[in-house]
Amino acid sequence: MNQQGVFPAVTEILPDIAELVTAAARSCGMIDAHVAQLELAVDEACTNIIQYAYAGRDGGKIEILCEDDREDFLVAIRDNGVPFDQTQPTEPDLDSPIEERQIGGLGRFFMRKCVDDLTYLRENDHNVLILRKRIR
Amino acid sequence: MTCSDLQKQIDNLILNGERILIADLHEVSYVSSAGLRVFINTLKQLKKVGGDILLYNASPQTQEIFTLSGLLQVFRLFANREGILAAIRGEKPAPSLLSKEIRGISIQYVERQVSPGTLLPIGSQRKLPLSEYTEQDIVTMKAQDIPFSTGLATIGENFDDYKQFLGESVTINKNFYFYPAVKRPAVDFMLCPQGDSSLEYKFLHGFGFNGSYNYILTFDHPDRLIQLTELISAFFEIAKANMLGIVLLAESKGLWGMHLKNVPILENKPSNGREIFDSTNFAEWVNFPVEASDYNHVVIGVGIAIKDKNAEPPALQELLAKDHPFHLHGAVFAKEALNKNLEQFEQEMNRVMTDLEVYKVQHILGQTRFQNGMAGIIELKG
Repeated sequence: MNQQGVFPAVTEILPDIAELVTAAARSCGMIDAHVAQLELAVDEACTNIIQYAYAGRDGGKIEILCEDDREDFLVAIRDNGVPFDQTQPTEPDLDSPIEERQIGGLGRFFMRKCVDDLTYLRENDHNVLILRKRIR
Repeated sequence: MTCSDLQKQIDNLILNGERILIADLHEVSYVSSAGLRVFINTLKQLKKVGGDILLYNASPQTQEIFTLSGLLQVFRLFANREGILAAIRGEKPAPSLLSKEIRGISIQYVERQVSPGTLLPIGSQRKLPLSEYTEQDIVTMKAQDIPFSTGLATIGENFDDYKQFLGESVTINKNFYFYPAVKRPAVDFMLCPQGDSSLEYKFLHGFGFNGSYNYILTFDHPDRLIQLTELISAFFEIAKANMLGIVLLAESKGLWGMHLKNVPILENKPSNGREIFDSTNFAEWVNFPVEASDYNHVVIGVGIAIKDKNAEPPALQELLAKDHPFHLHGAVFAKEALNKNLEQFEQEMNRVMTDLEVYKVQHILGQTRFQNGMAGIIELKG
């Protein structure tokens, strides 16, 4: 089974995207702990798209497509912002004292920790990011 | 809840004076990096003012996020509400703290056994109404003699050079702020380095006082805003002396402040021969508020209050306007949350003076409102 939706690229819509993804993941039997991790990864990916791929540009859209192949659950996130590969690793600062710490790169770091595989494609002027997470 | 909703709610709590925030995370399925950023910024902001944000009921997934991001050492995560309450109880201030509720205003204070300070009138207000001050009326005060003052003053060597910079002024623990009485004034100030005793101020009129704080207090009304007038009458129920030197540190919840727009010297005397406060001259001379302003700006107010004016000599009675029990000038600083731990009153005041931008110095009227804040009180003799 698959589920999909198209959303305006604004942060206010993040809860709606989360609802679509978590409902789809639960309906294929994913355990709660994995659902929460997937939800976080999708949130980070979409936040980055809004902030960087669209960089404040109005009218952008985010398409979400959820699929499962029994063992894995896949979320494809599509946008037509500037080319933006979120699978490139970042090195967030995890050790400095709080007063000095620069917050950046934490989102991508979380994404990599929370899903089993990340794939990026650029096709027809669109970014496509595929998150793969084991169901059990 | 999105991060911007969370940020707004937290900002409101801090603006309303909350310093210890407790967040129940039990309905939170995950915290994103943007959410962590909100928590981190909140913690940074609160740490500066002696506060904290405490979290509890985090799901294993949420705890995992704190662990992954290396924030478990930075935030205090508790298993349940009881754990937080026990931690807060363990950190309660020393029992020497006294408290009193006066007409709904909750006041906590420490009392110190110190001898009273001295109040010193400077110059006279007699030449103010007709704008008749001349160079002969200038009173030179040594900075070291008046750690606190309120008046019309400036700094400078030659009258002809500094006369245009005379204006509302306030000295806060030897740091001098003045607001020249001109059309578009900007505050100038002189932070007095400790031990620099050569500095002098030029006064048209005003008063200064010295002494140590007999009382340091925090005030708060949980349900409504407090007017300056009622706050000062509450101070008289804490302190015993008839005359009080007051040093107030609080965020404004609506400032009523006024200042002169011209220097009241002879060459500026109104051509119609009437007083500067006369209705024909008032608008030209006085910037008088028609509504409250400067919400959430940090204000340091310095001045005196007298409970029974008739018990004091005329020279001191004159320092207060008719029917007014107090005379305060305030320096208005940038918007920022204050640390309201009364043990850090002086440190916090120094932080404000060193770190925050100052916008104006005004005579503060009794309608000025606060939600909560701190004050130091010096009992004065004439």
